[in-house]
Amino acid sequence: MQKIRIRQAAAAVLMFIAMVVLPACGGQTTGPAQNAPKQILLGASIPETGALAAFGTYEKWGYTTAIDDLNKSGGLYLSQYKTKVPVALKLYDDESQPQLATSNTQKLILSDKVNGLLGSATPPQVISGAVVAERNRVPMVTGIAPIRAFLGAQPKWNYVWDIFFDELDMTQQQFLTMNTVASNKRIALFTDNEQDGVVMGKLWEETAPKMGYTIAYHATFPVGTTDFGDLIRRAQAAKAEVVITQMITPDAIALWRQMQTLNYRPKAAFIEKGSEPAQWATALKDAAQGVMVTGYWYPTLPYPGASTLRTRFEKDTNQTYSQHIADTYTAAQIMLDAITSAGSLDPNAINTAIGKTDKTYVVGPVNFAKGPGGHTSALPTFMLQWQNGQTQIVYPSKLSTAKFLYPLPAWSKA
Amino acid sequence: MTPSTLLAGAVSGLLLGGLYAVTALGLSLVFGVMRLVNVAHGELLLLAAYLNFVISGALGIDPLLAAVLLIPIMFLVGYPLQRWIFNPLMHMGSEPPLLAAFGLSIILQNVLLLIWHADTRVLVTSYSGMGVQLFDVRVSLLYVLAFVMAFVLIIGVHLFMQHSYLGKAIRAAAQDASTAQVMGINPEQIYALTYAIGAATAALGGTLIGMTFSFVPTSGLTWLLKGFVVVVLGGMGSITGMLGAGFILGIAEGVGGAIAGTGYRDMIGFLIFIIVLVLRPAGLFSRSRV
Repeated sequence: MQKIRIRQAAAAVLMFIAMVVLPACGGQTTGPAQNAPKQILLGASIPETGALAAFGTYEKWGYTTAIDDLNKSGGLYLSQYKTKVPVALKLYDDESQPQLATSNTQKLILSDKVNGLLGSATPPQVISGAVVAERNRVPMVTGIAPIRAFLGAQPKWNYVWDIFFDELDMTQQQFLTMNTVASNKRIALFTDNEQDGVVMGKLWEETAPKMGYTIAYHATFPVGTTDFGDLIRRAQAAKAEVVITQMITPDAIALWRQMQTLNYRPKAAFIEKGSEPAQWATALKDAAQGVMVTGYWYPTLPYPGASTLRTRFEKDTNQTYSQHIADTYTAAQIMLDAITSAGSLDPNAINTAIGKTDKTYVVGPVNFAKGPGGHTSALPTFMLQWQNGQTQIVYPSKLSTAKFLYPLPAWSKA
Repeated sequence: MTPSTLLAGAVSGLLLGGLYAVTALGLSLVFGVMRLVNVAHGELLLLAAYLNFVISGALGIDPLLAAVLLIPIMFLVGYPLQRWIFNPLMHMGSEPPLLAAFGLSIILQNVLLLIWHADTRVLVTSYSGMGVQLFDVRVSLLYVLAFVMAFVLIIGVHLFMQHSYLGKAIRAAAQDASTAQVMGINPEQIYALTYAIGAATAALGGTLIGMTFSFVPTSGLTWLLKGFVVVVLGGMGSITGMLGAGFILGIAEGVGGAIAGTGYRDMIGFLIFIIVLVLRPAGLFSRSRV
């Protein structure tokens, strides 16, 4: 009888061990890791087609590469689940249309149920998606939206974070560069009616007199304008030796070619935004020579991975790099770092972690707490100049990679 | 604003009007004969520009010379579109062909994107940066070329329509397809040939767009809208009317832009479009119909 009781007690202990103790030691089969999500999903609406498609190419590569790099190490470690989880990226094409950026972002949040968002390109696109992220309280990190245009749309953001240049800093670079050479200090401004065109046009108007320059003529026009003849003639009549523009690439190319046909050759030209992609040089060939554009990233800058990022892009795509590969790669890295810091997929925890970012990435130092509005991190700017199909830093001298080509050669020699 | 600014606006507008006329010609032909609003015409223009980009680049020849090679190619592109896509829909009323044209527009746009990506392209020539003095106004040489070519092309097409057998057959089919059929004309064949001729004219229009401006796969809408304005102003289906309408639109945009600002150029064009639609729905030159 006693033997039977002992056996029953032993069986009960064994059952207890089997049911309670062993599972606790079970590693893979049970515990927090068992509840871990199969993947972390990030999403972005980017302009893969339309007038801003050049930006979309760089964004796609930047976001995808940052995530692929992370996944090579087995995924992102979530402390809540004590395991690594792979990261996936869902991309939608917004066709360079703000309304599609809005609907795509809604789809990413409501249908795809993304854990974090990455931004589109240029303020109309970025802001259209950002307001949706903000409304749905899903954290978003973006580049390619100048900071004041970003803050102009909504001065206080809670869930959206922007890393890009500050227009106030950027709109001084042209004058600082021109201060190194002689000119009549008369400027012709060409700004389109997009948000950054409006913001920067106003800043140049304000900054020029403070820097000793005169805005001799300011042309404003809608995006998609094809004939600039009248505006060029007026700039020419205003005897402006310096041209500063803020416009998209197709329009900028049309303007530059028409300036050539009308024989308006300024001594210096800063074609902001429009002359930034490599297609500026491929489309215009020799006529692209000498045009300047403000930069915020260059492969020779002393940031971790800067030199290899360019090489990787050019090897992967067989295209010439653009600085946008750095801010988009960084935007994705910031989001991934924040999720790691949060240790979970709680949007508020991720958002708080993004706000605490204080690190030097491939694009440069990022610190949102110190940036304008508390949700932006301004990248320091410098002046790039197209020289023989490549951009070179020409200002400031401590960063310069080539001599400042000034004045622009006559059209007949271009 | 000075008189010289107005003169410059008028002269460059007049010349640019030539380009508008060329780009609208195919649209007008197709509408005049088949009553089809070919919303894919903008993409046909771009297809021509891209093909020219390839041909002139590969052969190392001038884009205008490449355009000559492109004319039969675009003809061959256009013919099957009408023959096997639009013709079967023609007897179903006006909506199905219109919807098919929308579909074709989207498909063509995506094909352009797929093949040539979204980069901005330009047809560069040694003279694309050149300008000439006209009436004390410096204008682009390409605008002058577009103006001359508009004259040559439109007068050529007009003469073809008036004096060739095919032209007469097209006009007959346009006026009364049933009667034309009784007379031994195959309207479906005529429609396909008309669409093909319209596409062939896009070879020149697309080339001029590529040489004068820049283009991306989504630029078609800009040129389609300009084309609509020209077609309505000129009189739906009027060939010679295209020339006058193009000039009117160009001058209105040029002078209007000089007075009100370049930002209002398009608005001025569409304002004229609406006024003409209200006051003279058949167009300003509607007597000289296809």
